[in-house]
Amino acid sequence: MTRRLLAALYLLPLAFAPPVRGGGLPAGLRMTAMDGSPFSLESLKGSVVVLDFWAPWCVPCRTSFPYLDSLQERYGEKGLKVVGLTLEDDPEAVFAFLDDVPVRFPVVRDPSGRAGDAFGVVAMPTTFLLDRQGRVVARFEGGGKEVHARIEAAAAKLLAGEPVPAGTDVRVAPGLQARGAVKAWQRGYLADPIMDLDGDPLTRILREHVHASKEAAAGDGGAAGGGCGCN
Amino acid sequence: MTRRAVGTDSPFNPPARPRAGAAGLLLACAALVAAPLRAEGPDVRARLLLPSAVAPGASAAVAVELTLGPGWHVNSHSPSESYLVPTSATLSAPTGSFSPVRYPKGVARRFSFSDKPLDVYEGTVRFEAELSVPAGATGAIAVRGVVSYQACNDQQCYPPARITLDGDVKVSAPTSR
Repeated sequence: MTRRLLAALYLLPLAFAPPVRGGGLPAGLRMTAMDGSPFSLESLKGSVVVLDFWAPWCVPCRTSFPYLDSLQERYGEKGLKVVGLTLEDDPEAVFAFLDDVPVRFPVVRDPSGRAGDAFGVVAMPTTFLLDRQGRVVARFEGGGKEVHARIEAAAAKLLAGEPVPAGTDVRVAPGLQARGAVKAWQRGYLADPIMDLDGDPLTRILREHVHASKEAAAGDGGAAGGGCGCN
Repeated sequence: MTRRAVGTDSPFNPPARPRAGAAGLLLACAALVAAPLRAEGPDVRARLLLPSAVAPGASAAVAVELTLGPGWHVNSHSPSESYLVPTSATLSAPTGSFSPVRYPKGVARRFSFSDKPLDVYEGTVRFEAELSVPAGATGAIAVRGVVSYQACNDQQCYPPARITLDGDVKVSAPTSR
């Protein structure tokens, strides 16, 4: 009994972790292709998907994109689909990035940031590998040759109908969880430190209200104060 | 003596490590339930450096100090590429005025993910300005500093963020004639 209780307690933190392995696609995500048409990850079921979260201000992403483009080129006929997903709310910044780093795989946007929250993304690049059933089977944080090699090895396994081995994930920050306001991704909207990743939900909501109230009153990022006075 | 107002540290803190053993495990899990899991992230800290007092009609130096932990960097105020988010500081106060903020030069660093060196801040840097106090000022002046940045390590980049810092500068009593 004691051993079972201890085992359950050891596993308790996993209940708070976003789905990394075996989890299905988060429901209700609305993404838009760069031409404005709606895009759905569900539509890619049947393919092995490399879903790459990126941002225009992310320098490592500029190295990853050409690699991912070559991955799509080399494995596309075997059923691989690469998708670049940005939470950037400024389409001009996205287009400028793509002008510098053109790719042939689809690039989609979720300015609402819900996808970032749903997948637990807090830094860029973060790449997910989805199997043909749309399940997230691996998470890769960061760019670089080692990460790219692991993405490719895992994708090749899935394309061959083999399971992705345990330990495939690349976690730069293993304890990382995203529970703050994803609107922080918006270029020009700088995240206030109230985007507390370690705050309790009620405190975070209160701080967000105070911050939003100050910003609405001051109009300059809140530096001049003002707002509801409830801080 | 320089008065310092400590602002908000990085919202990211390293996760607590669980202890071995049943009692320690129960304590650790109780802590997890009481306080949500902490997350790792950019080691970026800031503080506001203020004089303890300024005479009416005088000026004094103030600064926002930014400290990056080992392995972390932010873009300089004049980054090497237009798409990079610059580091900026603003100072404001309801009384008095600030000179334009002066920024240090960045250092050119080459990272594994970039072909070109980037102009960045590392370690500790200060953004300085002068606060001019009106001749008729009395009491204390509330100073707010806001530093905006976007931090990366050698693998990932974190979203743009800012730290707001508050402090007070006492207005010293005018000299009687």
